[in-house]
Amino acid sequence: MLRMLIDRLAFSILALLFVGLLLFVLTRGVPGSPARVALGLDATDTQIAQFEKDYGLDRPVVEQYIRWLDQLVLHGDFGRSFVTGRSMNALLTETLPITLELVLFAFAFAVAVALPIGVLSAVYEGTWIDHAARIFAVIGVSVPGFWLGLMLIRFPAVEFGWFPPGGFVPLSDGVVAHLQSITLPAFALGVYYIAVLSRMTRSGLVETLGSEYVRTARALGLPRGRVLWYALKNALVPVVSVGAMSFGYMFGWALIVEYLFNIPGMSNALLTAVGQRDYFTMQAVVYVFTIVFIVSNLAADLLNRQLNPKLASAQP
Amino acid sequence: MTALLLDVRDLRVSFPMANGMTEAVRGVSFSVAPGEAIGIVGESGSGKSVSALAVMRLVAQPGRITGGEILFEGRDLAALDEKAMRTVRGRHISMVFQDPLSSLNPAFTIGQQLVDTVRAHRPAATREAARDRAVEVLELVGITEAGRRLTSYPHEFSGGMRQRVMIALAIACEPKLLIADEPTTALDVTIQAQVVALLWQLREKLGLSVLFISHNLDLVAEICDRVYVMHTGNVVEHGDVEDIFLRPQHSYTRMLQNCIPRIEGVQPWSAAARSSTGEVAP
Amino acid sequence: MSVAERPLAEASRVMAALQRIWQGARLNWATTTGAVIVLVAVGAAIFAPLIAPYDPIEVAIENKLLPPSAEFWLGTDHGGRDILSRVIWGARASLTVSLLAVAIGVTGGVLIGLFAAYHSGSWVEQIVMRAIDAIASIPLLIWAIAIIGIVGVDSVDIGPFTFTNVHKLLILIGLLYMPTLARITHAVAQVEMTSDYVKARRVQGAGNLAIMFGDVLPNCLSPLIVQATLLVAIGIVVEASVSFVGLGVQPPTPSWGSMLADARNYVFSGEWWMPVFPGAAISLTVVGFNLLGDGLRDVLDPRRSTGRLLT
Repeated sequence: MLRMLIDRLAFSILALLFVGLLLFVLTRGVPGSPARVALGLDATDTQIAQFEKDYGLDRPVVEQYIRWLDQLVLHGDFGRSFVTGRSMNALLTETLPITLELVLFAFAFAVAVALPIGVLSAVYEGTWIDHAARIFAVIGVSVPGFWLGLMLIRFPAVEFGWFPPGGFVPLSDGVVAHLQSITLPAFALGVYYIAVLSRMTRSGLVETLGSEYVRTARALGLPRGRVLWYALKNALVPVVSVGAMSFGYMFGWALIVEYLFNIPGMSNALLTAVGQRDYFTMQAVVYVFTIVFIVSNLAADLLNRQLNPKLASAQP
Repeated sequence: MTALLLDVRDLRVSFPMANGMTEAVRGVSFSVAPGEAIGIVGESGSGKSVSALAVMRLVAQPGRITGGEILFEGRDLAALDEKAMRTVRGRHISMVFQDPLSSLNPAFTIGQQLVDTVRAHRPAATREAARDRAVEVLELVGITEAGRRLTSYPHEFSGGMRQRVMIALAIACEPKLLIADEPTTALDVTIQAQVVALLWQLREKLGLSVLFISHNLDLVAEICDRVYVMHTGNVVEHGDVEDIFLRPQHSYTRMLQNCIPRIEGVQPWSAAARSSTGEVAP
Repeated sequence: MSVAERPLAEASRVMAALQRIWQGARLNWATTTGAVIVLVAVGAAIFAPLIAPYDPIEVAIENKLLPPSAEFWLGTDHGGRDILSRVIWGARASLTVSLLAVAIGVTGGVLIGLFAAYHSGSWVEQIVMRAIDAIASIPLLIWAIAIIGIVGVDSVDIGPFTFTNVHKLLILIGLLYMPTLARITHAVAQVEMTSDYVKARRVQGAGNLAIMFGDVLPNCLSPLIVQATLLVAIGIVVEASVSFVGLGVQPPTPSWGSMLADARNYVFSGEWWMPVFPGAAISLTVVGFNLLGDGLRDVLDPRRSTGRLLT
């Protein structure tokens, strides 16, 4: 098991390096100096030269890459944005927790709703519960999150006034107000994943409930709850994998939701950076997304090994 | 005459198919007296496994018992509800299945599965008491270092050992009747003999009655007192093992017999060959 | 069979086939619904100039922000443009992007997957598949926005061709689809390569390329078709999302996503028809492709080599 873990870890690091290089090439390969973007069209050559020196842009690309890597890996420093001049670490510290909280809420919400629905659909397979869940799932997976968000703003927020139509209230300004400000965005973000995860749970559980080891469990007279757990523990394995990937993907869709609800999270920062042609910030943000994605996949792997130890001794 | 332990009368099991209900078991009757070892022999599709599952009320949905009585110690199991049936399964009647790899839950240790079984029928038992019983029963089926092996997962055992674990699970709550559905078919020939010997041992030690399902007449002859021969959902012949072998009445039974490869002149079984230790003499 | 009887025989064969399709459709109403929706959407996209009642681009301020009526079935937007017409034309943008992106993804993905399977067991395969995994470790939407952000939303001229933002978007999404499709192709091809019939073909003297494209590829088609259909659905939402944040289809070309962006300004006032209809169009079309994909999966790929989305 340790060997597998090391193998996965090594691959993750390689993937990170590869993506980092790719991003670096993309952001540095853009024609036209960032200096022009930052200083404007009427900047003099001297100003441009000075700017480039400040940001190390006058060095050969390879050297720039090594410096960037060194700065990041050894000092944990993402550098400075050449547009705003701010430290990107500061930006990330400000915005990442917000996006993280939004995604965590949405994810927790999705899992909390999806698992029971999936289990009920499987246990009551073929009944109206199952059919209703299926219809809900089809709709949930097809309705774009941001449109749902828009509708939520229109109705519960504007019409009924139950929730704020946007904006983010930090925790320091009151727990209730804070929660109110993230409820709609989290809901809009999570609905799609409720649909996906509930269906996966259902199909996995239907399959395991029909397995021979569940038949043995029944033959031994185990109580119903226990039999269900016997089946579920096995059925959850693919759900956990998909769940982890979903967690990563959620960060992507959080972008649209943050944009829609005016939430100052990391995804929104990416959009702002795009608008300002702030390539370095874009690179940093995308890189953080990648790290999160890879880490959540690793976590899923670990969790799966806990659930089904047969995987631990299986070949990679 | 002692009361029968299990008395199945005119059992019918049907499965809905595209064009209506198909009867897999068509009015089958068999019985097991206390302490007896009964065999049900037949080819695939004869309905023997379905009959066994029906006794446990575990016929795979959407199949159903459509007729007959299943009298266990006088009670008709076919009329019981699920809740009552759960008190019977694993406690009074147990079952061992064909493929121990797919029949044991890969996500739980065998210790966990054993403890769950014990506590299912003895809810008052403490963790330690259940654990002790688990160790006891593993030793009974011949698994050494039982205490250590409680934390092992099914895939960490060999085929024969896994089947022993299955048997351990089945006898953990001291049932009176053990149904063995092709328990040796998925195993190597050498292991088969060991498992059969084990079943014989347990039969003697625990006073267990056994219902042994197989397609192998030879195997059945080695440990059973009486045999039922099934073919396409009916019992076509039944009687003492000796009678069936020496004087097969039905053409099908003769056919089954002829399928057994044997060395000229050597009888594959004999009452004398069954020694008291349960070893099967060649 | 005489000459006179042949047309009759043909006709009865066609009738029998139609009957089978009809029975299949009745049994699986979900898939049929999906197929119908897809046909309607594709039809709208193709025949937009013919069926849209009004010009989708021409601004007519005097008509602005009218609620649905007999004259404008779905109301008008802030520029006085008929929403129904814009929704119909919007199908064109969404479907062009998603369908072409999937086409690109399938072509590239299949080639990469086959290439990797061809070199099965070697370091070439390892590197290719790992690179694929690495690219797939970034969420699609983030990649799309980041890259469009880097290259900008203006049209790019390369030689005689002009790439509008739409083109850039669909190429980008197509490229980002390749990992998934390559993985599927590679997985299936790897298994097929070790099968007996491939060995038999080799004995017959067939060259590797012939085996790859003649024998292995057809077996990969089923899961690929299923995945492709589902990717079209995803593509529609991705295009809408990217257009929503202003990085996709540029105005005044109608796109469901940018229509929703416009509607955003009016969410506080009462013009509910502005966000409702484009969003419904997106949802419905996506439902259609999802149902169709699921149905195709039941028929073509019951072994589930594609991830199961809806049971």
